[in-house]
Amino acid sequence: MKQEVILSVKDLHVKFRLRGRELYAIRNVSLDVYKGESLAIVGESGSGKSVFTKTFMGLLDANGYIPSGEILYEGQDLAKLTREKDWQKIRGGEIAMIMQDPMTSLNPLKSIGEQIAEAIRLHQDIRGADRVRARVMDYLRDVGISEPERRYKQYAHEFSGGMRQRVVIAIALACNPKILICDEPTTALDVTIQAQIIRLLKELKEKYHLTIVFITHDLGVVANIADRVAVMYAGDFIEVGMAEEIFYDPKHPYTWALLSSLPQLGQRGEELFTIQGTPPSLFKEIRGDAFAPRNPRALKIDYLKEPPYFQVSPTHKAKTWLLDPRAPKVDPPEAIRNLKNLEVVYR
Amino acid sequence: MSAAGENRERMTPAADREVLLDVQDLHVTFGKGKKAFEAVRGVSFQVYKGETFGIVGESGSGKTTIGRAIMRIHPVSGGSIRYKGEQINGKISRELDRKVIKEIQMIFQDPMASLNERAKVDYIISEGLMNLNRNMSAAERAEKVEQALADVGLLPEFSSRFPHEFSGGQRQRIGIARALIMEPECIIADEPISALDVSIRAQVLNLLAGLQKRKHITYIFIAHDLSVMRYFTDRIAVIHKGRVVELAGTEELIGHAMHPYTKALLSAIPMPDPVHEREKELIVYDPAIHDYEKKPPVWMEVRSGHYLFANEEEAAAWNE
Amino acid sequence: MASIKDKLSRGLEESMSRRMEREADALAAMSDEELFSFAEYDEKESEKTGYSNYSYWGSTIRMFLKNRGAVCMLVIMLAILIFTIIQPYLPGQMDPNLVNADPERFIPLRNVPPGADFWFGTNSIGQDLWARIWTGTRTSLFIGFSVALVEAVVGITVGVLWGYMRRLDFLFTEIYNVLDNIPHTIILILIAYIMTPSVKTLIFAMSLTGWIGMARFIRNQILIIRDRDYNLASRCLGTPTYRLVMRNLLPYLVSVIMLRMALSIPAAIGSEVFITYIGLGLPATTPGLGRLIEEGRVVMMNAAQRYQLIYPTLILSIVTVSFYIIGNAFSDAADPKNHR
Repeated sequence: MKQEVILSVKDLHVKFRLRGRELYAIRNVSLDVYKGESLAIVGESGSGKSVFTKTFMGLLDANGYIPSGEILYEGQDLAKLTREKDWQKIRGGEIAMIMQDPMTSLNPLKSIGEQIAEAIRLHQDIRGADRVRARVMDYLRDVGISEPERRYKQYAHEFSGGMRQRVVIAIALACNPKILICDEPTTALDVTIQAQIIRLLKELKEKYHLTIVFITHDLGVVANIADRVAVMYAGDFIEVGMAEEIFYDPKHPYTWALLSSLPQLGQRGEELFTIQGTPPSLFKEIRGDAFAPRNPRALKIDYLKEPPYFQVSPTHKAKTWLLDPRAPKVDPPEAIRNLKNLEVVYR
Repeated sequence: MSAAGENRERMTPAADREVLLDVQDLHVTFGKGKKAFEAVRGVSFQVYKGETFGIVGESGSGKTTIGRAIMRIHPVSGGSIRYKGEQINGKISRELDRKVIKEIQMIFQDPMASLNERAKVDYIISEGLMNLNRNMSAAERAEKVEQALADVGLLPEFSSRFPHEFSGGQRQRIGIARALIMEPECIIADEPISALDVSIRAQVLNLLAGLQKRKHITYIFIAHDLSVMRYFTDRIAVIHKGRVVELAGTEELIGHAMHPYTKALLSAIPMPDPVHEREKELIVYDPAIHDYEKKPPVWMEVRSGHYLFANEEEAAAWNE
Repeated sequence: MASIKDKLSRGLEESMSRRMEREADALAAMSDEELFSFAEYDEKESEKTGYSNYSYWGSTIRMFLKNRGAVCMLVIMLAILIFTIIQPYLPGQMDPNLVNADPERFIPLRNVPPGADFWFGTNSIGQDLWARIWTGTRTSLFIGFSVALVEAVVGITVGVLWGYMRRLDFLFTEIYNVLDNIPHTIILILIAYIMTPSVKTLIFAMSLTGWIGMARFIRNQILIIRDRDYNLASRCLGTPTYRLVMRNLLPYLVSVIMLRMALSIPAAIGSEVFITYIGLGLPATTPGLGRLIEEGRVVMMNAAQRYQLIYPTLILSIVTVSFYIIGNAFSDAADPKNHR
């Protein structure tokens, strides 16, 4: 099935100037986002996953810039936009974002109903106080906030963390976006709330025909929500594929490592798998495979030459020399070979 | 995790197991008068020497408060906390105070907030030593710091650096080294991994497990996530709104969860299995299902070593 | 310019192409079989990270030096400070209190405009304004520094006790409310009026009220950080309160304390000017900037004698502005958030 591309990133580079040095955050990245899908971008902190999506909304810090590359959205190259006025048209109305800490996106001095109403007035063609108010109630109900009449007048500090995140989602929805970027929306929340928010996002995606880009450092979380997963390491996607492909048939040693280190897979009395060391400094030039120094089973060529993408299936590609026909056969770690038939311990 | 493995058969409270920490009917109240808020409402449990005791619950459940009450950061408004048979809450003697400081240590949740940014790693780690023994020579202290750094897998040259030069995982290990140098018998780990990247969590968990093996430390492990608990703890107390609602050995609790809140926690664990995960039914706990007006709940042992806070009807229904 | 750029880029290109050649060589040197064999893996190596050596004060000074305006002001300030100290020992300096007279006619040399004999001219009774201004600056700066120091020591001590000891909070707050409700100006005037006018009296009078604001400020700061995790951690380790204050709390407040101190120096000089202005200041034999400005103000309307106001005011302005700028720049530089 050929899917329609809603956002297409081509050969994107992002750099930051920092104390006279240059940080090379996004290193020649290309990725298509399909309409109506939910795409998860997974990576450790500092891998560049947030920076990548910030370029879609012109939210790079002042010292960041795009030396080259394209971000095509509805025939427009977002990488070329510089004026704040042009970005205003994209932000919210076309692409909206949910951050990790809901308090940063909520105004503590305005009631939450007011804030949603404001977004409606800005981005939707609804006029009249009553109709706007009715719409706010709809959104509050949609994001699972009970007693919307009473909640309308309350302020952000009167809500719990999970409820605040629901309010932020309601505000994002009220902007009527086509793409919803969720930047670690559940990281600060309890597991029970996290599961509820993810379920909510899935429901809203269907109801509002959204395209969701979900950023997280936790592969465990995305199994539920993601149709497709892109794994980022040191400013580059090292493996992209459908969720089933990434979880059941991962190819890149880094994806293996991310999966195996999940505590969910730990066996009592045995050591958990760990990834040693830290990601490479993005100030430096990276030679060969960026993950090689942390990979106990790296090949010599990994230190010398950057691997190309090897196509595993029409939807699955990975950047590792292990897929080269000349490479020795290396099996993924024992712990993740049978994710499909996971011991049903929790159900 | 040998301690976990070896002790599995002796999970049921038996007379031969030494009780290290005994918490009875603990109450902690914040504020006074009308604004008073009771964060912990009559919590009782015992921690055996050498085991890992888990406390799990959502934010605001009071789990952190329990840990901090044992650490004597928060004053206790009712009940008692006994360590090796001696009461350690309220006014205690100087000697006992010193003993408790040395033997019970804490690891904090947020490695970004729990280290003194203006002090070098050397000072941060040796801070407790200086308090215990003022006459320790500089050389001896340096040696102990180096040993503590080595214990947590950090390089000795890190001691002359400042915390902000380190990543979250490394900072958390510095926090562990700071507790270790006291040679504690008991460590309270308050969500030690939830602020870390998943890729780093395993490192810290392995480290804690390895230390327990080598140094026979008793852990009280506080978390909001049962997936980690299943791997790491021997017994688990599930806490909701300041009350323990279920307490059992880890395998027992996960295999035969009875309280709907425990079940909700279990169903929320995200599994790396997209096909099953998409179909899974999420259990949401609604406290309104309880009919405690007429039939008040009691703390009862429903199976051997498996305790439940419920009324008779509920217990019968859940214990199917 | 262009040639340098060309050279640089050519050099860069060359090194790049050299590197690529090297890589190509390495690739060519190995057979496929070797290329696709396992490399050696060093676990210890992966723990090492490329962190720079950092020192708090080093970074603070570096950040401060980056602020050109503030460095400039600091140089001026230091120059003034040093000059006020060495000025009396320089050759050809006059006694600031000596009434200069014409050696032949014995008439005081009043209101002599600036010139070769009197660099800043003389005042309305014939004293050398140059000497008086530097003596005055010395006196005023001395008062300013002393007051700032007393304020800091007393204010920080009280503020720390107030903020850290929960039991004392109520008591201190009540005391503060009482003290703070008495207008500081009235206390200043009363003390200056009751006691004999002297530098010590002024320092005493200003210090008497100055610490209150500082104490309140420190208390609020301490309240904000006292229960942060790293302080709880120290308490769990049994760190005594004294060391906790010295190692955990005050180092976090360095930048804000410095700013307040830098601002309280010009404020003290301002008070001195004010108290002299209403006639309760220093005795005529101890010129401060306040007295000089007051003297200049009297003759202000006379264009020929206006220099008597302009010179001391100029010095006062430089001192005030530079302390303000230095203080702000330093407090920014001392904030580790700005160190990255």
